Amino acid sequence: MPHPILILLLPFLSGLLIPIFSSRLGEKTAKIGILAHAASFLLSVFFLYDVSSQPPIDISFFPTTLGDGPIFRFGVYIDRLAAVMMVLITGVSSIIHIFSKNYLHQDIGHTRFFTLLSFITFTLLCLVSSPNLFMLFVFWQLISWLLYLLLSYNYEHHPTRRAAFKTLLILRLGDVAFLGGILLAYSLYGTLEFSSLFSRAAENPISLSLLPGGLFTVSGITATALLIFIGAMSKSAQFPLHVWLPDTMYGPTPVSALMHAGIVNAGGFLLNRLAPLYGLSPVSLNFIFALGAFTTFLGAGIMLTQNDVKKMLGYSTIAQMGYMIMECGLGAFALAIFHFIAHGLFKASLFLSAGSVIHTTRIEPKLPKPTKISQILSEPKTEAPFSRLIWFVGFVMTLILPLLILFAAHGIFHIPLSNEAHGAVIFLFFSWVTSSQAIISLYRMNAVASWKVVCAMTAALVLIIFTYLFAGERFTIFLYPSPGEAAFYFEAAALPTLLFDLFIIFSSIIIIAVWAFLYANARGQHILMPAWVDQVKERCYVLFINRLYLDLFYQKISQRIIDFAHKIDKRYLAWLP
Amino acid sequence: MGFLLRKTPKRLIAWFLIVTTLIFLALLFGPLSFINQMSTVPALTFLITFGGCLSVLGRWLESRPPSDLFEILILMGLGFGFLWNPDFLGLIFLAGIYTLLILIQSRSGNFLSRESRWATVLYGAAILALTASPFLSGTTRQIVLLLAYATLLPLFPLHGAYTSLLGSLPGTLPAFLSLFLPALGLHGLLSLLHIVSPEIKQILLFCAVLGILIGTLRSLVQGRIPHILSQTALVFWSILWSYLSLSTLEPRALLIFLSAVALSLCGLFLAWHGLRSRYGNLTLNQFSGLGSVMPRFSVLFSLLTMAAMGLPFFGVFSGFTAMTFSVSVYFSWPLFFTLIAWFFASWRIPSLMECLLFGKANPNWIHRDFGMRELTALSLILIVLFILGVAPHALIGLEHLPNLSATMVETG
Repeated sequence: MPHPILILLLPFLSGLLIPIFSSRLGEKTAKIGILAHAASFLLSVFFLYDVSSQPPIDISFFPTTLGDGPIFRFGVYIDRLAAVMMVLITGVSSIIHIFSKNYLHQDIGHTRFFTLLSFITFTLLCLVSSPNLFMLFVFWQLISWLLYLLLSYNYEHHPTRRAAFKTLLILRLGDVAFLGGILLAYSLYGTLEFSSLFSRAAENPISLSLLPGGLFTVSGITATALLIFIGAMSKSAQFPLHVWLPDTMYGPTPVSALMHAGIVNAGGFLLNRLAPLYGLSPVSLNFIFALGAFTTFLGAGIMLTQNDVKKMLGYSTIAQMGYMIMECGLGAFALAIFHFIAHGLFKASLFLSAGSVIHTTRIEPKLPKPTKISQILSEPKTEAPFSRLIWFVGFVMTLILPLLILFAAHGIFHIPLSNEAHGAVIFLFFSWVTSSQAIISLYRMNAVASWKVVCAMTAALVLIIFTYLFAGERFTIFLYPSPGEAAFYFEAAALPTLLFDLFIIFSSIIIIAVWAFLYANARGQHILMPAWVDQVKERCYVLFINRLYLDLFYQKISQRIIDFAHKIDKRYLAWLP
Repeated sequence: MGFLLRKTPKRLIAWFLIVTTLIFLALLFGPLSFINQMSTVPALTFLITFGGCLSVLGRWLESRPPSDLFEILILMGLGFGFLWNPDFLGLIFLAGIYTLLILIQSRSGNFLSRESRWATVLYGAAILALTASPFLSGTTRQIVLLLAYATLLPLFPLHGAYTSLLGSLPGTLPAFLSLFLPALGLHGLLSLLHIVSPEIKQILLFCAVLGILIGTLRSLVQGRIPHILSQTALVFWSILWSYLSLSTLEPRALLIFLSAVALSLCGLFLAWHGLRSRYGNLTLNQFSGLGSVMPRFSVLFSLLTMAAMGLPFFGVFSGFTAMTFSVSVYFSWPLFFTLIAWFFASWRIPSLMECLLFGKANPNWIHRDFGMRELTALSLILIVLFILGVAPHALIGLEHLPNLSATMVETG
């Protein structure tokens, strides 16, 4: 039986061998990376199968003693969560290696690129297989640094350098908060080993006073969880630490693919790994949900105003990461993993396709041949035939689900799932949002009205509900096999019933409004609105196209800090050497 | 012997390299019974010797005699005298070090320059303090010695001499002194701090926090590399002071941190020396694109940057986390400022690397990558930093260190 360390070692070795053999083999050194990562992927699949039926693999390599302080062990811990992540990381990395071999053909820095790619894969694998919070944090930081180096690939280009440095700064900000959380966790509970940390946190509820005199107390778990969450926010591009992601589009397309498929998921993975800790802090879960929801709204809104394909994909990722964080905030940790696996694979393929198209377009001297779509667009527009039945069916279908959600939340009926009612409600909620998005997208594409469209819509809805309710539920049991564990997280994250009802009703109103708008558009009509609505629309558009002016805000802050430093230095510190 | 070879710089460097290596090997394999092994002295002795070797190894070969190498060797000898003699004789050696530093600073620049004045005033005051200390007792004596040691391991507002030396001296003296002076300072302080009153420690803590803030601010505004590095050094040493001032003293963690920071600074100053020797005393903005024309230097410098900004698996990270984990207070205000400083170090040090390595190389310059000696010096530093990061007990000899709360050993 192969040793699990090989999964980590193979990418590491390829990172060492590529620069050594590059002068002799030239571009063929990419094959070293491809073979190593492919082998690592196969091993990951093997160990995923292994841990599905066996207890987790826990191997210690060496303890490291920091002076007389705590002893942290470096080792490998592969449970079902780590195994799933390893399959994703090695799979995506292998594909990216294969893609990059041709993409970076005759590029000067290809050795540096493949070396860094191998090391970052190794670091990601070590991160997901860390046996304690300290080791996780060690590799967490290394990812920030390696990503910076990868994004600076084209370092002669000034905007690339600026974007890469901005990424590093924001990720390091998250790292500092993460370190603060770890120090707090260690000082409160005396350990950073996951199982011991969770049990001690559950047994010892400690309150911290943030101000002298015992004012403004907060639970130790909440403070720790929130500090660590800031680290997750930076990696997963959550508001307001999301500003680094869209500007990374200057980097090579394979780096974007790896980032959107792998690195941004690190935050979601961290929350999953610390799920027992977050389950003890409903306040932090509610905060996470609210922040995730806002980030989803923000990412989607800004995406709609972009005209650059890679930037659109970037903001789409921000929205999806917000969605994933929302799922974590509702206790659906396994669903979040399920989501970002699917998102990672689909987004990686989108980026690689986009990169390929852009690359081909740049070198292709001829204009494209007219296609059916361009012919349709160039023809005089006629009113697309539509069927009232199609609209009626779609409208009703997307409103059935919120009714089901409200009924299930109030216990009027029971969905036969292993999880408790909370879990069912959460799965229904996300299936409703996803299916609404899918059906509305179909209408925006001006699909020809026919019974085929009705069948396609119905099939899509059924598939989405089935996937969320049953496949998602099965995946939850797979990741959290202990009875009652997943239900515990759902209950911990439960919002007050009135708030949840209001949220569903508000979301339904928005979806009805969107339907009305699309219906009127399809008929060539306009809905009469007060003048202030148009003004609000324009202002929102300006806000979103300027990305809420956050980049400008951060730029001004950093400039103010430097100006302040100059001022203080000149006025008060000039006498110092 | 060196004096005889002074007119042939290449042979002179080779001779000094042999001498420092022999000293290192003698310390490593020879009898160390004359050193008090139940202390931090062996580790600090090795550190200083290693620093001396590196400073010689990384020295750029020029046509005129490298006088800084003579000064380095003399300082090493005086440093050993201070470390190995825990009584009044040790203070005499320390006074000799201060005197030599004043002379070096005066000789290298205008005697009335700002840097020279800082060195003269502060080290002169330190000499007076050392002279007076045998005649004083109790708290007064402690304060006087603390002030003297605060010029070695720089503490605001007595850091001026240290930063001015690092920012203005020629050759590899800044690289050596960035390591040498704090090592001596820590040696003096460790024997003193556990008998100092809590009120004095609070003042030291306050000065340390001010040092963190001021060093951070000033490193952001500096335009010359040695000044950036000297202010960054102030930040690191102020962090060390903040932990020295807290009630628990953990010598192992302090030694790891000091050694790692000292070696990182030594490496950065050696790198600067190599660049200065090739391109002159330019400002940071005048450099760019060295990554494409000096690939070997770039790889080592980027690793050094990683080490200096406190990334794993290097010693600064291990030392920093060892110190923070060994302190039993959580979220105290010094920790808050320390974390802020850590973030700003992650801003300034990588920005230094970016300015040097990224961008387009100046086509009008003649670029020459680092030679074998320079690369060896930087590589050795990185290897030791890596070992300090992963297995510090292999180097520090932790099992011989005493529990300082139980032992009272006073210097002088």
